[in-house]
Amino acid sequence: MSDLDRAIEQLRQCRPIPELQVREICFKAREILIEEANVQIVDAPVTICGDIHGQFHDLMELFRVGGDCPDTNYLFMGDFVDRGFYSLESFLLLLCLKVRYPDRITLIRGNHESRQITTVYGFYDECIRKYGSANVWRYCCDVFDYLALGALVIGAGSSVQPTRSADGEDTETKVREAEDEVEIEVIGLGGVVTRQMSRRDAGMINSTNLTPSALPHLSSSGPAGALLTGVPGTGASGNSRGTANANTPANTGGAVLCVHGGLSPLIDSVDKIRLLDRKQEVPHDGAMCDLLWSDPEEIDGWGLSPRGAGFLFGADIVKQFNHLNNLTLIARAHQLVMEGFKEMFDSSIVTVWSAPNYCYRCGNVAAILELGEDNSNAVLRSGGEEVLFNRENTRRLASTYMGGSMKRGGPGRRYRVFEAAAQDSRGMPSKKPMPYYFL
Amino acid sequence: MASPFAIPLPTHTFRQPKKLINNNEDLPHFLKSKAHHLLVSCIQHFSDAVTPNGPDTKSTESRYADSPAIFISQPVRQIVELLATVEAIVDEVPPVEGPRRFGNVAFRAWFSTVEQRSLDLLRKYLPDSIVNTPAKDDGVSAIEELNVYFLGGFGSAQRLDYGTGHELSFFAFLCGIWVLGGFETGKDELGLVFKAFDAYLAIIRKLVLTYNLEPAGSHGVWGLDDHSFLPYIFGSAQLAATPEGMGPPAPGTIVEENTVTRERNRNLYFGAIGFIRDVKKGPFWEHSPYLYDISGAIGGWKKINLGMMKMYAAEVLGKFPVVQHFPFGSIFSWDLVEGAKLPSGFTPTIAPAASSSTMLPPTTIPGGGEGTKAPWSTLPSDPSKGLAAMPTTRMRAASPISQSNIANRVPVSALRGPPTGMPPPSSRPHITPPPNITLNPETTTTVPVPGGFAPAIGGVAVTTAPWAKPPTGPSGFGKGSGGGDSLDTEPVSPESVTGVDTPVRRVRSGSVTVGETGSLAGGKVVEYTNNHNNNKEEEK
Repeated sequence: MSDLDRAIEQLRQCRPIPELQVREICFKAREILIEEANVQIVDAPVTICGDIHGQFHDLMELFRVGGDCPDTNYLFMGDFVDRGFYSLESFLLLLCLKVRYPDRITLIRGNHESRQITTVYGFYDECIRKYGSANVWRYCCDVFDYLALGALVIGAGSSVQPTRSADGEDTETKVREAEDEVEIEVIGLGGVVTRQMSRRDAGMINSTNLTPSALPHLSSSGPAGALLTGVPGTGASGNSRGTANANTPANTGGAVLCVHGGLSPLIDSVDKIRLLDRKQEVPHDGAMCDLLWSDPEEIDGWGLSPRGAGFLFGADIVKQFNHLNNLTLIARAHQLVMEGFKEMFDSSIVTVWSAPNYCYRCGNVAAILELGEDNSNAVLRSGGEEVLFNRENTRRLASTYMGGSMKRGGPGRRYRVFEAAAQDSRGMPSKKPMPYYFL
Repeated sequence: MASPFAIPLPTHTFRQPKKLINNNEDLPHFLKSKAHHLLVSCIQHFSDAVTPNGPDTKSTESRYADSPAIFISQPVRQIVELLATVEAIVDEVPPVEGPRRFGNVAFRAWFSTVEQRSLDLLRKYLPDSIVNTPAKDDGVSAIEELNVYFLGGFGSAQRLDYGTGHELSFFAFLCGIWVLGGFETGKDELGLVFKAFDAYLAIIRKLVLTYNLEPAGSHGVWGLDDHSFLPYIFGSAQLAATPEGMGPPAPGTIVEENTVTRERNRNLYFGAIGFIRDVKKGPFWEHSPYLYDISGAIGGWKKINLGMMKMYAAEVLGKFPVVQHFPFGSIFSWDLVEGAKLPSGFTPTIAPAASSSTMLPPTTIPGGGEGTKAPWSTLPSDPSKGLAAMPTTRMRAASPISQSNIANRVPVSALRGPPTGMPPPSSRPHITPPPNITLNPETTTTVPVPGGFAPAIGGVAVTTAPWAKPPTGPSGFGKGSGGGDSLDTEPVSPESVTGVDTPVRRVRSGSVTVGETGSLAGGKVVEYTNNHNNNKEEEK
């Protein structure tokens, strides 16, 4: 067992690792993160998670519900630290997993991954309390500067495999017909399927403005066709889908942009995010700040954010952005949602919140969002074997998605809702050294 | 206590209190001001008053908050009735149904109701001598001045939050009545703390529960308490003088449910703990580690009381984000106390931004300045100028987006090796003082949203930028272009899109180190040392 595996094991037990090891892991993490793009390309299937805020035991619950890493691919949308008791353990575990399985877990930056914010909202205090010095805080902050600003999930299927409830009970909403695809599935507490919606239902869940997202499936030379040339070892016609496929609507869920906060008036395309120099403390304003701070809101256009950073943006902004960038969905975190997730603006954007009973008192449930693989699309398979994309291909694939015309329709989405972890397993710790004022 | 501070009603000119702490540089002035002196003295006086003395120290009973023996004078009774009236308004304004997040918008309606009625209420419930003191010259009346502190005690309607700064404001309201002769020294202290202040705490708890007010400036689990501070001072004082074994519950019993249940109505410390237990689910040591650790204090409640006083001086009165909202008038005067010096260790150093590339943690910086200050806050407008002075790129100022700046990666060579500014690991014998924050945790929530784009749902956010100021500008940007049009040329800030001066983001500059010994430490006398001038020179 390597040192790294041992560290992971120790952190899984919620025990901090020695300072020197933190330092080492932070260096390694930086070497990996520095290679990542501002907008990291991630292949489906992947499970998208929102804020964690140091709620370690709930993070363990998340892995229990969503599957362990690396068996499940994860994408965490930031805010690992602050407010909770175990910011350190939570962040370090995720970071160790990143170092151990760099292709299986993606970490992007939240507004709390910042020196200034962590000195106010608890992570700094926590490091001082747990290590007696600020070194670990400093190592972690140096890693923060290298976290990607967003991620683009590609290759997601347009439907999810319907889940049968464990107890076989009928679900609230049945899939109408066998051939109907399940666009949205919600698995509530206890693993019970609480909702299945076919694409025909195509309504909105968890929101009031229920407008069917009956966007026409555009017939085009979809990304699948365009991609063929990019796969090494396969000619354009060598793929099983052949050239005929190029004019067939690809059965894909389209690209999903993941970002912690939201959009920026300075960013009208995903490519503009790529132009940012992200290796810095989160600025007080500007595009990078907005991506981490903004919130969707029921307004037209842009509005002032009460947070004092970032902006509020309305449905028109989201739809325009998605249209221009061939996105079917924006997934973001950043705001407490009592129900764990909330789709807005005709399912063009979703908030995913993964910290149950936030701050020990909000009484909310948490959720994660699973995007399935596009099984009907043979692009990712060649002769029955999965084609592993190297970076070059990934980049080309991305540019295809970004530049090419792509059908719209949204990925199949499975939300798994979960509650705060049981507390009985946590023993009473010894008291830490007396706080300064009470010595 | 009142005598040196007493204000003669007939001849005094009352003033409309004004916000005068606008940045960190104003903090040293505040710490030497008459207002600070009065607040510190008053808190200390009340803490001393609820500490048993003489024969009372034989048991804690003499200082039970719910004891029928507590003397309640007519003026104190009136305050309790005033607060009961205010509390009843909560029932008039139920929380708004709908999507729940932090901070229910109905709180704004509650607050504005109180605002509309407060002057009438004060006229009805405050002592006649104060009510009947009219405005003189260009001033205001006594109750108009007091009203500002009264209203300031119930949280922020804009941000839907509540914190220790608001608690301080209400305490100032009581303190103001005191110096105007509304209460009687030596008689009313227990009634004020155990009845009036306790009634205030009850309102606050009801507000927090009803409207889910966000903690203002919370350090998460690592702060003392989400909302309150003074009950810990007064509650520990109640138990500070009685020997162990003669009544006081051991500090460690704050984690025992039955002890808390028994004590919470008669002790303010346990009352605060009880409220935490009401609202938080989870192990106490986990959601309240600070209180948990304190409960192991060697030296018992006396030590805890002293520690709370020190901590209050540093973390509440000494923190810009908290006291910036405190207004100054004729009662709480901005004038300097003659000969007052800053607390030892207080070093208001404002470092040039370019001197630091990595934001060092506050405690490691001698003189305390650079690290807590946002390095970009004072950078010259020409980014290249600022950057030239910076040793590394990591903290560079937000540079304008340029099409040529395809900077997804920086040269790896520049990043190899240990990060700069990373000292060798050290082990410290004990916990260092908390960092000196220049940020603005008092604005930890949302939403003023003036004008046309106000959200219809509850508080939007759970975190506000520490540098956030409530937007005060006109009604926003209207319909944006999505940013698309402007991007081809220059990055356009939203402000300039509409050409409206909207102070969306204001960067705070400067930082402050709070002295190691708070000015409340060890007694009524405010101790200062004479290092302020030195530091001032360093600033230049």
